[in-house]
Amino acid sequence: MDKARPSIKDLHARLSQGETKSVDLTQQSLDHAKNSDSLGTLFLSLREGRAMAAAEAADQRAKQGKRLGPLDGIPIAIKDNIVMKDEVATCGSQFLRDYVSPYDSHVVGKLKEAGAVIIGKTNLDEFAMGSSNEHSAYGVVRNPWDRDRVPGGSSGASAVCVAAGIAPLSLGSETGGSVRQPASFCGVVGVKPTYGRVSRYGLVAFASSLDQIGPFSWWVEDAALLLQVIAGRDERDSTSAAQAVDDYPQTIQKPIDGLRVGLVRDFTATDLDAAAEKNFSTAVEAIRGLGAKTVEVSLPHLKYAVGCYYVINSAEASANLARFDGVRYTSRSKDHGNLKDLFVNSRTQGFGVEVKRRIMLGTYVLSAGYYDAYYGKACKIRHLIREDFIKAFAKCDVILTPTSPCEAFPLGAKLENPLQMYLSDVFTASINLAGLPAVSVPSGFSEQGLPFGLQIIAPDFAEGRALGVAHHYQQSTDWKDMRP
Amino acid sequence: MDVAGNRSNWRRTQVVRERSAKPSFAGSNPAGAFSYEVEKMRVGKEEVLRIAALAHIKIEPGEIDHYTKNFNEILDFIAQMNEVDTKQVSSAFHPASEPSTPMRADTPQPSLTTEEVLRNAPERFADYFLVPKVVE
Repeated sequence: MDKARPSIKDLHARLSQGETKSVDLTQQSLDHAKNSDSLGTLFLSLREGRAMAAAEAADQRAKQGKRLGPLDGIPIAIKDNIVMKDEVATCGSQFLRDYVSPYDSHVVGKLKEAGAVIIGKTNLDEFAMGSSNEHSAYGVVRNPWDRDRVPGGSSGASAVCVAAGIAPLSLGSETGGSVRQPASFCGVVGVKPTYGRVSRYGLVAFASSLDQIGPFSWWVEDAALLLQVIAGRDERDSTSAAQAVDDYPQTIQKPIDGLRVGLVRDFTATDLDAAAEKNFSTAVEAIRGLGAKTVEVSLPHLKYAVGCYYVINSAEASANLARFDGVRYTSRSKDHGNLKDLFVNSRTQGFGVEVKRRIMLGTYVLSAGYYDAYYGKACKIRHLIREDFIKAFAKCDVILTPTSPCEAFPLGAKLENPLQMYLSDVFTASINLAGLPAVSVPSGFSEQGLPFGLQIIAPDFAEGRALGVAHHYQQSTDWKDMRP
Repeated sequence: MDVAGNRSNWRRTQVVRERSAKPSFAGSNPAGAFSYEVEKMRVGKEEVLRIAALAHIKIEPGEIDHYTKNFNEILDFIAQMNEVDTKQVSSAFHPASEPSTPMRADTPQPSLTTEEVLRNAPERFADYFLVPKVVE
C-alpha cells in the first residue's frame, strides 16, 4: 500500500466492482509485513497461507455479488493477546510461546463473519503491561516517524501496522491507554470503546474492570466501520452491555456545530510538555472553527488517576495472572521437585520483569493489612473520578484533552524508571477507570516531525459522538495527507 | 484506614516522606526527581521477598535492590491518594452500571472438548494434566 491510504469505503467499492482483488491487497500486506525489519518485530505470527485462502474466498464472494459487507476481503492485523482458533497467542511472553488457541475470541468471530482477512498477530508489551512496547519478550517495535523512538504501548505494533500502511485496520486492547497512546505516538486513529461495548471473550485478561478491545485506522470513518462490526452484546462476557449498537458510520456524519466541548481546567496543574500544550491549543481552536462551543469543566480528582490506576490494574493483574502456573497452558520449568517448586520456577522463568513487578505490587496492595489502605482507597477514588466525569457531562457533550503529555520518547528512555513510564498514562488511564469511550485522532506534528494526538472523550455509549468530532476534525486538517 | 494511617506499616518502616518533590507529568522530567532514599523506604528488602513468595515468584539476590527501589518509588507516588478524604465515599469496583450487565439464562452450552482443553498442557497423562506427586 506504501503511501496510499485508501479508505475502507474506497476499497469496498473497488472490491465490489472487481477493480481490486482481496488476494492482491492481502499479498501486498503480507509482503510489506515481511519487509519491515526496520520497524522492529511487528508480527509474532503471520498467517500467510491461511490469510491468502481467506482472501480467495472473499474474491469468490465478490465475483458472485455476495460480498458480506464493507470489511469483506480487507486485511487486518490483531494484537497477540486476542485469541484465534488454531493460531499462536503468546501475549508477548516467553511463558506462552507455544500456546495455540483452541477457540476464537468474540472479535475474531465477528471479523470472520464480516469476511475480514486476518493477516497475523502483532507484537505487544508482555501481557499488555507497558507504554512503549519495549516489554515484549520478542524484541522492540520502532516508531515509523523516527525509528529511534518507541511506538507507544502496549498495542504498539498494531498502531505501527496502520501508520506504515501494512494494513488499513488493526485491533489492539486497552487497560489504561494501550490503544490511544500508541495511536497518538504513531499518528493514527485509536478508539477505546465504553466498558462493556465490545466483548472481551478471548482477550487474555490483564485487569478485568478496565480492559476493552479497540480499533486502529488511518481514517476515523474506518474505525467507525470496524467498531460497528465488533461491538454488541455477547453472553460469554458477563460485562458485555445489552444497549443497542449505534450506526457509527452514519452518526459521525452529523455536523458538530453547536456541540458543547468541555475543556478541563485542572489539567493546568499537571506539567504538560510545552510542545504538546501548544499543539492541544491549536487543535481546540480548529474544533471551535468547526462550530463547536467550548465550556470549562472541572475534574478535581483527576490528578489521583495514575496512582489509583496502578493500584487497581496491579491488583487485578495479580489475580488474573495467577492462572499461569506451568500446569495447564504455559511452558513448564524443568527444574522442579514438587508442585510448589513447579509453580514458582515456571512463573519465575516465564514472566518478564515488568509483569513480575505488577504481580508483586498487586499482591502487596491486596495482602492482609494493606488491602483497605491501597486497593480499598483506590476503589473509592475511582468512584470520585467517575462522579467528576458525570458532573462534567451535565455541562458539555464531549471533553477534549491531549492523548499523551509528550510525543513519542526515545527507545530506552524510560525503561529503567517504571514510574516515569506510568506517568505517560496520565490523560488516558482516568478514562478506563471511569469506563468511558474516547478516541485519539492525529492533531499534527512537533518540530522534530513526531505526531501528537487529540483525545475526545464522550459519555457512556456515545462513542459515535466522539468519533463524529474526530471525523470532522480530521477532514479539516492537512496532516491526514502526511505519511511516515 | 488510609495509607499514612496504616499503623503496622508505619511502625515497621518508619516512613516520613517529604511531599515537596512532587513527580511531574512531563516526559522531559529528569529521572532524578524520584531519587531513592534508603531511610525513607515504605517497604524493605525482606518485605519484597515476602511479597514475591506470596505471588509464587522467586527474586534472585541480584534483583532485590532493583525491585525494592521501584516498589518504594511507586508506593510513594500512590500515597498521594491520601490527600483525598474518602470516609463518606462508596467504592467503585468496576465502571459498569447495573442494568447494562444482564445475567444470561443458566442453560448448558457446548464447551471445548477434553482434547482441546489438554492441547496446551506441558505434560499430560491420559485425560489429565500431569503434575508432581502432591500427597506422600
